[in-house]
Amino acid sequence: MKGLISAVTSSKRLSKTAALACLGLSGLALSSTTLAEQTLNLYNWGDYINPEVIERFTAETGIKVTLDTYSSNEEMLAKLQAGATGYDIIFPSVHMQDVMTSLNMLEKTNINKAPGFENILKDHLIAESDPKGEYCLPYAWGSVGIVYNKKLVPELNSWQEFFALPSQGKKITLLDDMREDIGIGLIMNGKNVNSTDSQDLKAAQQFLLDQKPNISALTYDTIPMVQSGDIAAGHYYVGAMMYVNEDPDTLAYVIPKEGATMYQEDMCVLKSAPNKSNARKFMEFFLQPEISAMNTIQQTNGSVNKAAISLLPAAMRDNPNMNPPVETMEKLQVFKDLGKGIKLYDRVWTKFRTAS
Amino acid sequence: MKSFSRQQKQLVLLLAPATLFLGIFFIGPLLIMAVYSFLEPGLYGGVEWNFYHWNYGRVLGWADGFYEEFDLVYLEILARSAGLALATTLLTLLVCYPAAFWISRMSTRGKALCLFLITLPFFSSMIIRLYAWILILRDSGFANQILDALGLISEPLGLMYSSTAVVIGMIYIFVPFMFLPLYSSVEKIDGKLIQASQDLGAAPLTTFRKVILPLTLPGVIAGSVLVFIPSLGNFVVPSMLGGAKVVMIGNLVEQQFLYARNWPFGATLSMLMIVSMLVIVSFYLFKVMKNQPQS
Amino acid sequence: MSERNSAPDFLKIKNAMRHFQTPEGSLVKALDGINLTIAQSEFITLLGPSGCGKTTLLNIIAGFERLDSGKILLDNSPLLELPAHKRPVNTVFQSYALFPHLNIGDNVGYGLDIHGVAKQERNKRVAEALEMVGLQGVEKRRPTQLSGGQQQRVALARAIVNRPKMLLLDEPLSALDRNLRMKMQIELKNLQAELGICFLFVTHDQEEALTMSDRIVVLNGGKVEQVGTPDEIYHRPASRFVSEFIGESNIFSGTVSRCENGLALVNADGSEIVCQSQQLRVGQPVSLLLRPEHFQLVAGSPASGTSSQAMIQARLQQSVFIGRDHQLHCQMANGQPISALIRSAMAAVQPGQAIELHYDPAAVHVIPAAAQQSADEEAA
Ligand SMILES: Nc1ncnc2c1ncn2[C@@H]1O[C@H](COP(=O)(O)OP(=O)(O)OP(=O)(O)O)[C@@H](O)[C@H]1O
Ligand SMILES: [Mg+2]
Repeated sequence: MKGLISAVTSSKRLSKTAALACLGLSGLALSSTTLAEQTLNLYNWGDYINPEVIERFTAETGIKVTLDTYSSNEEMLAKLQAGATGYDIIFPSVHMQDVMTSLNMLEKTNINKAPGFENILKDHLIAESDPKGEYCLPYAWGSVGIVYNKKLVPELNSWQEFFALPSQGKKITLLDDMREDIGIGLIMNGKNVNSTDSQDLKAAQQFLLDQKPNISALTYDTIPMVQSGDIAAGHYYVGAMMYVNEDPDTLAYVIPKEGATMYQEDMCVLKSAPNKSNARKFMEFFLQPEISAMNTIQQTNGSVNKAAISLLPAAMRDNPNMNPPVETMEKLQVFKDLGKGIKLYDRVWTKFRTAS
Repeated sequence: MKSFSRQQKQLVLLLAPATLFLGIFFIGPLLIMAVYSFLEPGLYGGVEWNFYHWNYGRVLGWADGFYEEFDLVYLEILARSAGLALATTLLTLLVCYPAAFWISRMSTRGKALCLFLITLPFFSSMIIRLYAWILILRDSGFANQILDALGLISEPLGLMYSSTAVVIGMIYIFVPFMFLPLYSSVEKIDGKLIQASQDLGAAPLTTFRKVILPLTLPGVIAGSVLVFIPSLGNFVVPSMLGGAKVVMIGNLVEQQFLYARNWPFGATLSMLMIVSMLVIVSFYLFKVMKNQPQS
Repeated sequence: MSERNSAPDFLKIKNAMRHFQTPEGSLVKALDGINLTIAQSEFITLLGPSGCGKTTLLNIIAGFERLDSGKILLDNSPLLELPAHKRPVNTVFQSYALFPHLNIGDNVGYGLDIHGVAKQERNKRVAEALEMVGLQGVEKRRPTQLSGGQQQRVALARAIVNRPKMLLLDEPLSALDRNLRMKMQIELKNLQAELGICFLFVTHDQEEALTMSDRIVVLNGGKVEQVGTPDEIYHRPASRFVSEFIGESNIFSGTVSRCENGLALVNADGSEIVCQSQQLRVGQPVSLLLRPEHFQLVAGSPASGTSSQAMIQARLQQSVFIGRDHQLHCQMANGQPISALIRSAMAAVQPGQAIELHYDPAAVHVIPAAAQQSADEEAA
């Protein structure tokens, strides 16, 4: 479903320019086939990199870049497990990075020895399998909060207020995502979003089931529905800021005060990568603060590079929902791999979605 | 004799590519799926090569391992998918039956135009067409705007993310699959037979029941099979227009293969679907054979 | 003609009009003011060239087609108000229209099942009807497992089993071969006598019409040309159209030159034809009909014999043996072709020979002028 929907609208990390960028890239690929065989194959989330970054890289190094996209960690893993080869760099979420490390799929790059790595915030070296950054380079992060229509909801600060909206005749939506939705249930019960305690999950399930009749939809098409006022508020990624910036009178994004989940993707090189040295060149290229900042500005998400943060425009740097203060950061939880515990989540999710 | 064996050789040569193709790309995956459905799930997807009997029991509700409790939730999902597929089948039939008669009576040009219009949606992506429905059905959408402008409603109908929207979307998507086989059998009906039935004293409804329905039954069954089977696995419409609030068997399979990382259970659910479809299709073939007058 | 007993005006059609719009936009008058009265147990045939409106008239009586204007009474009650399935008439279709999904028993029993006839009674009547048409024990078969002639009988059984007041048959024999058709003609006629109900039979085969009918209705261009017994239609056609359409005819057009002793002499382009004068006046233009079988052959010179009988001089062009008779194709002095049917024993003449064709003036039929005029208009 996710794959299908993101084919048309935005995927997890939205960008209108992505489609154009893909066209541009493939054009580029055709024109330079006769030149050097220097290539680099990226396998990234849809719309999750500023195409200008890639253009700049090719212009500077002459390395031709191809970009394939996926719409979930699981899709990416399943494809690679099923034998897809030829990719050099992938962008897994940190818990998927842990899984892939345990499956022995990732190459040790020693990127932490590269110049500029000192700018990477230590708070973002969060993969359990790679606490020092010997394998992967932290790429970007973002919170998952609420986007709302200011004309319908003048102010919104918490999940509690969010879930109270339907009682005022206002519609809300959640993401169509197992971990994110169960995560809210756990947060509302003061639990860890990675808990595999069956009592914790029972409580989360109960919370979700209580909300189910009030939830209009589980969807990723949140932005247009909120913007048009069909939906008052929706669970969504910080990438919504791109639209908030375009239409600040209507839209707003908030990290709820009870806390929220955050995602982070790292840039990793596959063991099976055919162009490992080019991959390393790309990582080093991305360590440059201005390149990293260029990407963050276009993606409207969080930066992991303190030198890059200082290059961001003030409106982004000072926005507590984009670049949150420490107190807020402490309330953001990152997903970890659940191991066998995933079965528990699967049942809760199935129950939640089957309930009426 | 010699030419006969040459013909046989030719036949084998002609059939070989198709047989090979089907063998490798149809039977092969099916066998893999059948085998997987009896294996243990790997921790991160894939399978462990141990015999595992929980998968089928789990569909019936038994708990798979200590994290779960006995729960009929999967049967509920199966029943709901079947229910939606059945409703879609019946409603498309209801829409298409009169339309087929109406169009079969048009002039040649009218027929060609209508058939073209009915097949037109096949030329564009289903997702894009469903997005158009979102634009129509949502509270600020065209349907509500028009009804409001006509003064028929004072506040939005709230169609979006409702089961009405799902049903509308399903009918919309599956009408061509029902219409085409139905139309071809309706078109073949000899008008004289309808006259004969009337002539022998049958009122229009009786004529329909005793002549038209039996004669169009092959089309009805073919259309129903063509609609029922894909709509059983369809989850795009419930997700996009219904707000994904209900799980369809299709979502469940995707969920098992990707997010739950339980390939064997996904394979089990797929096997169940495939088997039930084989049952439906053989029922259809049996019905058609029986109706074929032996010559 | 059989006894036209009981109600002589069982079916009454009054001024029936039906127009069709063709796709090209012009109007076709399928029925153009039909007036017709049919008796209760009559075998009546609609005869006419293709497109003259036979099927349309049948469809209107059956209820498959509506009338633009006009009235139809069946047994003194208006028929047109009833929907097709409530009319006490049954149809035998040209294409048989047997239900392919039902076996023969269920096809024949269809009308009885609709009317809720009890099973035992139903089966009995089905068997009887099949027996009547000479088909026994085929109840379990499918229509496709029967020959064309057998299917035709099933169609007949399916219609008569309902004991309709009237049976409509639209060219029911046209798909059969000649022998079978002749056999069926007799059977149909017998069946009609046995059932004693009105058969309205459509054909464009004039021989069939003459063989089977009590009366024939000749249609042309949506109009009734003539209604009459086969004998009337054949020997006293009401119009040139009828005389040419039915049987072989020799038609002579001319003006009356003399009237005496109850006989009239007509000058037809140089040759003289004698007929009974009736109400003919001198100078009147007329058309005369002489059937080929009304001639007798006298070979030899024109001078030979003094005949009180009328005769035509001609030259034999061709003589064709057709069994009991010879058909002679001759030419008159003015060039008009003439056809005669002569007993083979008498036909010992050679092509090129001059012959005299004798006839009885009483056998000459004067085609009525009014009808002739309209027929001429039609031809123009
Ligand atoms: N549905 C119709 N639409 C238009 N014209 C029609 C229709 N039905 C009949 N006609 C026209 O009406 C006229 C009479 O048709 P009808 O079928 O009654 O002829 P028919 O005497 O049965 O001829 P045939 O001997 O060929 O069966 C024809 O000119 C025909 O073209
Ligand atoms: Mg006809």
